[in-house]
Amino acid sequence: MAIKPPYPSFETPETMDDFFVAGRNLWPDLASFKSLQFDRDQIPPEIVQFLRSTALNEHGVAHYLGSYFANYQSDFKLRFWSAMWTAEEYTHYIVLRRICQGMDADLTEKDFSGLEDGDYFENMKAYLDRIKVDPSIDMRMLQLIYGVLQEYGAVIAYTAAAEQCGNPEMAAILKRIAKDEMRHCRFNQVALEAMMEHCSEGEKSLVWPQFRAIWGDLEMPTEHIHYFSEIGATDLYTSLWDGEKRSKIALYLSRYFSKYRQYMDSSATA
Amino acid sequence: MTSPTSPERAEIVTRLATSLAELLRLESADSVTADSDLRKDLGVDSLGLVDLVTVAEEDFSIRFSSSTDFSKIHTVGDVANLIKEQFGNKVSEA
Ligand SMILES: [Fe+2]
Ligand SMILES: [Fe+2]
Repeated sequence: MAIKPPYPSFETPETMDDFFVAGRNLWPDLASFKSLQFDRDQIPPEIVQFLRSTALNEHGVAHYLGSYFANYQSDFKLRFWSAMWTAEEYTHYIVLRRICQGMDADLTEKDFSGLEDGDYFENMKAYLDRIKVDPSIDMRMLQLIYGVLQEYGAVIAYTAAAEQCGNPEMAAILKRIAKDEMRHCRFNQVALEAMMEHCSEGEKSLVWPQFRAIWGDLEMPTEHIHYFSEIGATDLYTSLWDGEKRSKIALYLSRYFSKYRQYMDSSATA
Repeated sequence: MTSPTSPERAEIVTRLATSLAELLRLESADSVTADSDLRKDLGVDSLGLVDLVTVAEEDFSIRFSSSTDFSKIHTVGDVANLIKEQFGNKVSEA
């Protein structure tokens, strides 16, 4: 079963506000998910593991809200988005947890161990400092570029899981999540473009190298979720990306970010 | 569909060599041949892949098919073959 991932045009004329409206009525049928039932023996074990670890990952996103608030400074729209977005990711956690329960593979307290121990604020700061291509880069820009990559990675991971799970009902739910992830990816693009209107040529020239730096360093956050390190979650997440899917990610992201390469030339000649 | 304006493979290799030499800051494009291994000889890793895709699509005004599997591409000649295949595939297929 080949499922075409949602590939919207980069040119669709959304504004940031459109995303806030779109987020008002998501997953209205969530209550019905309580009755989900799957035969665990029919689901490939690597998909079971993917769903459990990804549920934890979606749950973990909310812990980073403080960092997002700090990096978005007093930018009201970006702060509003980060609150709305983390809530959407938390909804994905609820959906995925119900799938796990429905296949008798629920998360346990042990799986969550370590989640509350960490200093997400400091760790996020350390990570962003490490990958920063220029110390003066606006943290909103860095965060938005990261968001495009992170969310597109999620699109491909959920699309791959939908293809490989072997259950049409589960596949339909995973495709819905992938669609949300694509909208998240698109928001980061639209916000980045809106930001460009207020950036100097020098600031604009940082987008492409910053994209490359994040692309070269993409991995799952294993710092506080012990379960991730136990099962090697980075490999698990990326194991769903075969050569073709990795190529899709590289193609999509290169094409999206390629328009920012022009600013490097102009800043070099300026 | 093959476009009548599709350049010869040798020409594609030459143009690619020039672009890659610039991209990878090589002293000269002469050392880049069709047999050059992207990873072993030129050090094009997954980071370099995004550069390669961008440069190839821009320089040759082509769009790689969304089902392209770059993990099967090993040499500059492989890229040239792929570009030749994609020629005429200029329309967005998204
Ligand atoms: Fe999510
Ligand atoms: Fe997301």
